[in-house]
Amino acid sequence: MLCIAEQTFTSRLFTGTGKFSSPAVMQQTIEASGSELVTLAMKRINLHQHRDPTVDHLQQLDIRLLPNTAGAKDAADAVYAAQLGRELLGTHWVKLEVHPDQRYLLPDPIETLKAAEQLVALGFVVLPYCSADPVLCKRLEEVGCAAVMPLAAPIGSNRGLLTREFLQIIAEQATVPVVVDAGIGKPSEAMAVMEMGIDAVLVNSAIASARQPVTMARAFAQAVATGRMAFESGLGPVHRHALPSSPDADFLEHL
Amino acid sequence: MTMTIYVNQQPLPCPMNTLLADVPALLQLPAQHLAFAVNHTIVHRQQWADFALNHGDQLDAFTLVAGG
Repeated sequence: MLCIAEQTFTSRLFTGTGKFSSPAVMQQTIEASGSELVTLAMKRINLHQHRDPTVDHLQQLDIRLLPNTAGAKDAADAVYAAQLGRELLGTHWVKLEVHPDQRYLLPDPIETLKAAEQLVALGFVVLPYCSADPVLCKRLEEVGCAAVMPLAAPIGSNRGLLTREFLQIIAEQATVPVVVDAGIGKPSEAMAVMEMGIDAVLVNSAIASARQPVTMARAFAQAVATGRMAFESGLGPVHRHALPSSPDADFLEHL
Repeated sequence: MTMTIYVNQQPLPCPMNTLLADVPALLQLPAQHLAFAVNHTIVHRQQWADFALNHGDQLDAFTLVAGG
């Protein structure tokens, strides 16, 4: 069973709450996914706008809510946002995100590492969204992150496993759970990373932007579970040439 | 007597001696969905009831929204 910071998870599919057509659809979809860890964002309130009902729907579910620091452009922003998240949800868990570039939303590795170190010192359980850089992931692990969350492709792009080879290296090297976060567009891609030994995936856009989010959530849940089962079963070795699976390939030659 | 505080840079008239704990009702928002910083320092929820606001104070008010 997956364990992050002494918290166990039955499902290895984590989800986000963005981009759903309505809070009710979001709630139904998260229930269908079986996800037990669900991300939320924060924003400044506007005195002239109605409040977002997302949290009301989420509080009806038996899930752990994970505030993110989206919007942070440097380490100082991220630490501030994490502290606000702790105020809002009473949790010391945080999904650390620092992405100053708005076009590709790629994480700033230097600021992410700085923020992670500070947040760990402040007692946070830090789950950093990061580049699929095996060296960076080791550094994040060394400063005390509870997991690492390398990207498959840019956030919301549904482009799939652009970083596949690096994710494989990260899966081999990590001693904390590895959660592939961002860019996964299809259940088959989630299954593929689970087969290689990734511990969990976080999927938001691919589910929320599907024509039928509820059934897509089920498809992702099945794919993640199947991929994990395959990994735990031990995939057979890969060979360049054919190796016969029947014992005697020439028994008809003497007829 | 009234004073003005600023919530996310928007003016909010309120009675003198307003406490931070009074602000959610002024905003017509549930307190459990809000976090505040006053003059750029986060004020813990447990301190709101004792935290007196002054004319011109700058409040940063945050809430949770959908996100990935």
